[in-house]
This record gives sequence, structure tokens and C-alpha cells, in this order.
Amino acid sequence: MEGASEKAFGALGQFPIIQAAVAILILLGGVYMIFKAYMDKSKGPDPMPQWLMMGPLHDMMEAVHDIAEESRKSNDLLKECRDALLACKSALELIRNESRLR
Amino acid sequence: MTCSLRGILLHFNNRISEVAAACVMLGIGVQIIAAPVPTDYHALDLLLVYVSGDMVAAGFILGGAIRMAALIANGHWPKYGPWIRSIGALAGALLWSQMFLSLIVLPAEKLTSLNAPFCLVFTCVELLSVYRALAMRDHYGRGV
Repeated sequence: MEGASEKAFGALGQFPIIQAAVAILILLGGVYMIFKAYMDKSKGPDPMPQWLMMGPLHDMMEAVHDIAEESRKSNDLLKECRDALLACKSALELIRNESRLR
Repeated sequence: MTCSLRGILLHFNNRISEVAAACVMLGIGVQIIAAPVPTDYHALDLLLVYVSGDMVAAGFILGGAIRMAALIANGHWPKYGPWIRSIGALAGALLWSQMFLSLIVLPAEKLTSLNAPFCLVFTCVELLSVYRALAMRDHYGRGV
């Protein structure tokens, strides 16, 4: 029996065995990673490090900044509208006073 | 995804290593097609024992393209996307490990490329990607 197995391994060569062993190791590692991912996910607590959440937070801060900038522009426009309306009002008052004098 | 540098980085986020691996797979496939296998590709020695050069090229291109599609879709396939990424990364790990093995068994005078460390690191990174694609699928990329 030993002779037969030796012959078989000899015919196969050493290398395919090492190659297959490495492939099996990698496959087992991958399957372990898949199971571990599922276990970690079903645990509940966030497996993601907190620092990775800085990205969305940073985006939110940028969005708030953009909104503030838009609000400031809107405010400036409203002020200009108010000034224009006040000018119109003054002009109308002048017209009215003038028409009364006549 | 906007086609600016910032948009691309935001879209791929922490998956940029997977994008790099997919690009390398596509690149290797294209190189094998451009300069077919009888060329001196020692890294493919072990793979070529079992499959032809054309099949290796097709495998690289197919694997890279599918992975890239899953990464670009990013969240639009919440059910299958993580699995595609995960299985793609596992297939990548297998390929890189076989390439690494092909290179480290070469005698010193034949070892003309510096690819062995790349293949080893890619193997490890791909195994980590297998984990990340499934464990963090609800957190990033709108589900993927």
C-alpha cells in the first residue's frame, strides 16, 4: 500500500500537491472570511470603525456650509428688494404729495 | 457618480483597493491577449499547466469586468452586489496566490520580475476584501 501511494505521489510530482494545498488554504481562508463576515454582521454592533464615518459627516458639514452660503445670498437679494421697494414707496409718496398740491 | 476626481473617490470610497485589483486583472488579461502566452510569463506557469493562455486571459478579463461592474453599480444591486464582490475577491485571491507560488519556486537565474511581493500582498488584500464586501454591506455604498 505504501509502495502504491509512493508511486502515485511520485507520478503526480510534488508540485501539484503544493499548488493544490495553497489553493485549498486560500479557499478555506475565503470561506472563513465569509462566515466571519456573516457572524460579525449578525452580532449587531457596528463592525465599521468610527473614523470611517468621518466621510459622511464631512459631506454633511459641507452641505450645511453650502446651504448657509445660499441663505446669505438670498438675504442680500431680499435686502436689495427692500431697498428698491422703499425707493418706490418714496417716489409714490412724492407723486401723491405733488398731486395733492395741485 | 460624477466624473471628477472627488466624485470618483467618493463613489468608490474605501473600495479603492478592489478597484485597483479589478483594474490589474483587466490589465493582465489585455496584456496576455496583446502578447499571447508563449511569451515568458513565469507568473502564469502554474495556471498554464491546467488551462490554456486564452482561457487565462478570458478569466482575468471576465473576473475584472464583473468586479468592476459591481463596484461601479455600487448599491444598486444590494442583494447580489456584495456577493459578486466577495466571490470576485476570492477568485482574485486564488489567482494571485497561484501566481505568487509560480514566482517563488523559480530558480534565482529565472526570477527576472519583481512581482512576487505584489502577488502576495494582493492575495492578502483580496481575502480582506472578501470579508469587507459582506460584513459592511449595509454601511457603505448604499448597501454594497
